Amino acid sequence: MALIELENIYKTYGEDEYTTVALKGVDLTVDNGEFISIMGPSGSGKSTLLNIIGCMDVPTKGVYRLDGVNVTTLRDKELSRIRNQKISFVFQHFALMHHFTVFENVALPLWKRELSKKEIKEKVDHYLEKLGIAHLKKKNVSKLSGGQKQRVAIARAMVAETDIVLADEPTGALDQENGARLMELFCQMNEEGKCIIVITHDEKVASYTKRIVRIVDGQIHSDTKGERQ
Amino acid sequence: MRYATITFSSIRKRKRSMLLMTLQLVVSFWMINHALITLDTLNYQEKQLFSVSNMDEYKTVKLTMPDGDDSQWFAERFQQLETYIKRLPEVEGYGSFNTTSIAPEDFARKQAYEQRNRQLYAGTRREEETESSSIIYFDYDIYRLFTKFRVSKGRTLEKADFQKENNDVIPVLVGYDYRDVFRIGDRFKAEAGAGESTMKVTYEVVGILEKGSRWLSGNDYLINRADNLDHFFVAPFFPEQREGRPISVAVRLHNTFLQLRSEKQLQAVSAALRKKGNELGISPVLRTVRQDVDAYQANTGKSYDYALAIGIFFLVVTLIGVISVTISAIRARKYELGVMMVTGASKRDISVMVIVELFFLVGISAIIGVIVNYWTEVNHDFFGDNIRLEAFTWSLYGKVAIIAIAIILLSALIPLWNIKNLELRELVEGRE
Ligand SMILES: Nc1ncnc2c1ncn2[C@@H]1O[C@H](COP(=O)(O)OP(=O)(O)O)[C@@H](O)[C@H]1O
Ligand SMILES: [Mg+2]
Repeated sequence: MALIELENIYKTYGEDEYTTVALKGVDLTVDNGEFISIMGPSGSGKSTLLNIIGCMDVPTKGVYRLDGVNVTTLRDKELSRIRNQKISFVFQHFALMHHFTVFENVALPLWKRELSKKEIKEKVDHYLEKLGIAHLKKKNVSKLSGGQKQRVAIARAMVAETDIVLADEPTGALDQENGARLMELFCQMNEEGKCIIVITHDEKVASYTKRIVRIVDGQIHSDTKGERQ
Repeated sequence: MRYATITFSSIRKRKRSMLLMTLQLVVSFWMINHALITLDTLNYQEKQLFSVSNMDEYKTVKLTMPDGDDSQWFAERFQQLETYIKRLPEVEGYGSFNTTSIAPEDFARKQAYEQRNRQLYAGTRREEETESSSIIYFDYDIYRLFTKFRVSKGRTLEKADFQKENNDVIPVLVGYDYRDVFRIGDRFKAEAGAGESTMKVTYEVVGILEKGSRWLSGNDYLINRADNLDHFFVAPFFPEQREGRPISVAVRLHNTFLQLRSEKQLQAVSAALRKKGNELGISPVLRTVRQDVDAYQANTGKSYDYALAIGIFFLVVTLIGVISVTISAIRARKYELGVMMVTGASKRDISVMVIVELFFLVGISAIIGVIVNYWTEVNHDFFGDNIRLEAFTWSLYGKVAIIAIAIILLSALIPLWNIKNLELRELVEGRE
């Protein structure tokens, strides 16, 4: 059974003459442990697709099965459970809570789990250590550099220990060096068995992945698998 | 609910607006509480009057002399009026009471007495006055017709006690709290009277009052909280206090009552007194207890309306404030909420957070508001007789809690509706 199964997905924004059709019949199957990049011109529907995969948005038409469960019919309560337990996000602009500390940001996905305060602390500390940002733990995230912020975001994605990690242009706001470091982290996570899907404009970023899906105008244009280049 | 941790973190981060909001809420709850107390206490005086005394709302009449003063001229005329009243066949009884203080001396257990007062007065305005107690002097008719308290030991006061021709020994009842300090038959001396007429009088303890004995406040028999007599003395007026010197008359005039044989005789007695007053050149006024109660309630009713209007005004202003702050907090925190939802918070979790925050804000303010109001009432309690303090009961706190919950629900309505319509994809997209 595939991890992610998209069948004839349509997504339309707006009403009447103002509608935009962002996705026009997308079929996509992703298995456990894959490392995929989604590429395509601006406005082609990449973010829309990723939002649907991440249960942040629902398709207008079509069926999306996650782990064999049709999630298109689920309500907010169940969708939020899935977002919490199966999916982690990494965004171009990090999506951190501005006035909160590094610890508070990284711990965010854990508040919904059945964990004691002590367990939460241990888990967060472990991943902060792993990413080399343990010394920033009590710092307000708005005081951090871009590279540090993105590492906090990655720590948050790691601490959740989800099977799927989705990233929307995660290197877009980073310099070359930090971008490369981030992709190394993704490779490492992929080797540990996580399924990673990254949206990018950058061929160099895509070269880290094992499968490239190209989207043009809301439709899949090509889908090439191969070993990491 | 684990998200409470984040809620409190978030409140801490918005300290200033939260403090302002709390301040506004505290004032509102203060005003609301004030109005509730006024409403609550509207009937307290009336209930107290009839539970503490045997006064009759129609037969008991209070005598006042609006033009009375402490001149010899007035004292002589007033004494003539008193003599006239006592002879009226329609009048069953006439007299007054006076609450003052007494400092007993020359008795065996004086140390024990002061020790006891130290305990009794600790933390009150009398803290320094451990050598004295309050004492109430009665005329016989007032004592006989209106008082309800009894003795637990010894005897009550008798007619002869009130009719002594000289002050060789004045019988006295002592409050229950002094039961170990005085024995029946104990004698002590004390200064009595005022000004140049001060004299030393010997008192003899003839009875110990029952625990929890009460009598009307000497400051205002109707409006103030009745006195608990456990640390009081009770004695008859002695001859000098009954006679016609201006100072004695002034004391007696403060709380002077007459009891009619029938309520139908009020007209006749009023007319007779007015006529007699005219003859003497003074102007007595008679009002039944009922008339006093009605006048008081009409007055308080007005201040109740006023308090309620202020309370409601503050409530509405506060409500608007809380709603707008909550809405703008949600708008300002849309991105924050989006981040939380991406990591797994449901709209329900977010709503709970908003409610928890409101509960915290409104709850704390309600508690502080009630405390502030209590504090202001205590500071109006100069003689321990602020009856409004008796309104601070669980029923009052229950009402405040209901109002607080109503505020929370009302101010949560629009924000919750906003949350319901949040579009997650719009919250985190392209923002920084
Ligand atoms: N919330 C929205 N409302 C209306 N149109 C939208 C919205 N989000 C995206 N679109 C439109 O959908 C199309 C695809 O957008 P998007 O998925 O963000 O593309 P990409 O991420 O590939 O740049 C674009 O034409 C965009 O204008
Ligand atoms: Mg995009």
